[in-house]
Amino acid sequence: MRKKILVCLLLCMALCLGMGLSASAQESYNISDAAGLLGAQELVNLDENAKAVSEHYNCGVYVVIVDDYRGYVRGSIADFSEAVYKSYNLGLGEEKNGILLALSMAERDYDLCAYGDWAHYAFTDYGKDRLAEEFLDNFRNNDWVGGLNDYVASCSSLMEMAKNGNPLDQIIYEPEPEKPGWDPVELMLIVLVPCIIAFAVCSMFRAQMKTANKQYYAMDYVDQSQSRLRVKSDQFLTRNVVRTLIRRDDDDGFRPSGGRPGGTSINAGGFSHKSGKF
Amino acid sequence: MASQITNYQCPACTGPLQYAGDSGKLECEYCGSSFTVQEIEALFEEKEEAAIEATAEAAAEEAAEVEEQIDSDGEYETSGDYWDLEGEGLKAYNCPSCGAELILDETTAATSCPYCGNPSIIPGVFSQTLKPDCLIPFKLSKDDAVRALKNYYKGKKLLPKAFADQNHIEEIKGVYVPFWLFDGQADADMQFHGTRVYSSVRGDYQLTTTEHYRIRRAGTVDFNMIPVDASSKMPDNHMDAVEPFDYSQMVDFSTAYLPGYMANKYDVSVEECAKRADERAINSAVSMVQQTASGYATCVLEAKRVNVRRGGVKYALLPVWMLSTRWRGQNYLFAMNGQTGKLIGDLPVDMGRFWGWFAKIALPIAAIMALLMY
Repeated sequence: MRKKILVCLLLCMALCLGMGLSASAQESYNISDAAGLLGAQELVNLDENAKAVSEHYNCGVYVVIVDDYRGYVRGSIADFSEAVYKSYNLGLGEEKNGILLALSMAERDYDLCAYGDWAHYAFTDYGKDRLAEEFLDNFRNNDWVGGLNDYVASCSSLMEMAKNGNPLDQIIYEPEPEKPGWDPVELMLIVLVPCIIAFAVCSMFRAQMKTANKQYYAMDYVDQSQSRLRVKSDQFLTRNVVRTLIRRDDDDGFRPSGGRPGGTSINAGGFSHKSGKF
Repeated sequence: MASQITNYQCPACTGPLQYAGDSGKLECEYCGSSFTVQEIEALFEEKEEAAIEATAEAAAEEAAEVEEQIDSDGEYETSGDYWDLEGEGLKAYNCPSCGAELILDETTAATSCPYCGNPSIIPGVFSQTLKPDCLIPFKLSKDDAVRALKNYYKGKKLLPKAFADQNHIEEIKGVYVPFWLFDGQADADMQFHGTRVYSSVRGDYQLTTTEHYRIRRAGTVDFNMIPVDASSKMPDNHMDAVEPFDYSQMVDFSTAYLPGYMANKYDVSVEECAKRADERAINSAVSMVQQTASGYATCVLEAKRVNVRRGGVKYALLPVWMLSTRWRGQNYLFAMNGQTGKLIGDLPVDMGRFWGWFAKIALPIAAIMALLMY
């Protein structure tokens, strides 16, 4: 299956040399726009930026834009990214570190694909989430240049953080070490709740001691055969509807703990992904 | 002069007769003979009439004496009026068995002679307009009442341990308590504001729908014979608490049911008691009508109009055993329904036991909570 995909891809790539991605670093382009979204000058500028960032951090920053990735592979857009990355021998250094943003315009799919240990270190799962946020808002407004510029700039920021030893990652709060002794609230609960229950039960016992009570009702003397309900009317007046947004766990975007663990999820092929729609 | 007191004596041996609740007959303690109420009524009809006449004569004589006193009021200066005041509300009778003078409250209709112990009836107290319409005879005996009191102590966790052993029954008496029985009808017309709340999820939103309703309910509730204690000597709370009575066993009044028991005539008027009957009828009608406004998440009363139409009133004597005990210088009064056996009364509370139980309950719960939370 994988072979079939690659064969298909290579054939297509052979026909699409104009896309510009190449194994040769000297002749290559980091940005490839087969969908024609970018103007020539915009393409050149972006490519220069991407190359500069790539060289600075020794980690390739790539973009490939196609009309429909299904024309190249039979699988997901993540398969397409991996196929492109491998076919064009992308990445810098011995580990072939790099990050590729693949955009497929047919159904507005995108995939962020990282490869290499250092790239995985710099582009954690959480980092890729934040990176995607940077360009998605532009893409949703069809601001392609703005989005791609943000992508390159954010890649630079993330790699700078990683270079400084602080890659952007999910912050996991460690549970606070338990303080010795009792929490005052717990202590109050432990004292109050049993007291309330005990007092209620004892009050019940006490009520049993006093049975000479005045009667306020005369239910025993009601003549059921003669008693009747004369009017029974339920008139509808108005209806109020309150809409409340349901807050889901992932609405917050920032999961301090108990959510997905930090770090980078790497698949068997050595790639890590963040895919979605724009 | 005929005696104002009637003694129901055994036609066989002239011993005193007493009404026995379990057999429903008047029984002689001495020869064991028993007679139905009707037989005794027939036998003692003349004697009772004579007693009623004697009571009327005595009342007339008393009135004449008062007039004399008024006439001579300006002539003598007595050491004080308290003699008359002391005697106010009391009447003197002679026991037909032993001749002893009995000083009785003017409302007393049946008692027993403290000297010879014979049951004595004062038919004049229940003459003419003062005669009760009906009566429920005693079904339970003195022994039943004592047993019920002992049982009543059982299971009372806050009762002082020594109370059941150390206290003793000071007095136990079966009393026919005068009650007014009120018929009536209560109309309740009520308006509420009700809400029904539904919840559903649509997309990312939870929709909470609140429907508002104006609810109106109006109903008529008929009441038959709401009893209200008509004796000021009986504590109202005790008399309320021994209810209900089974009216199906009610019989026409006859003094033949009274021997062996105390009986008083009413001393609280119909008008005064009617207020309490009205209050109970109103509360019940409102509660019953309100219960029909169901099926709402909230139901808030907005307006209420209640009208009571008073119906007939019956004057009845209902059987109650009164038991009085004494413990640590304090009296404790219990009452038992002489027909159904329902016993009520306030018991002393041992505060030591109260806090003991408090600790017994609170400490294990606290320990379990501490284990779970730590």
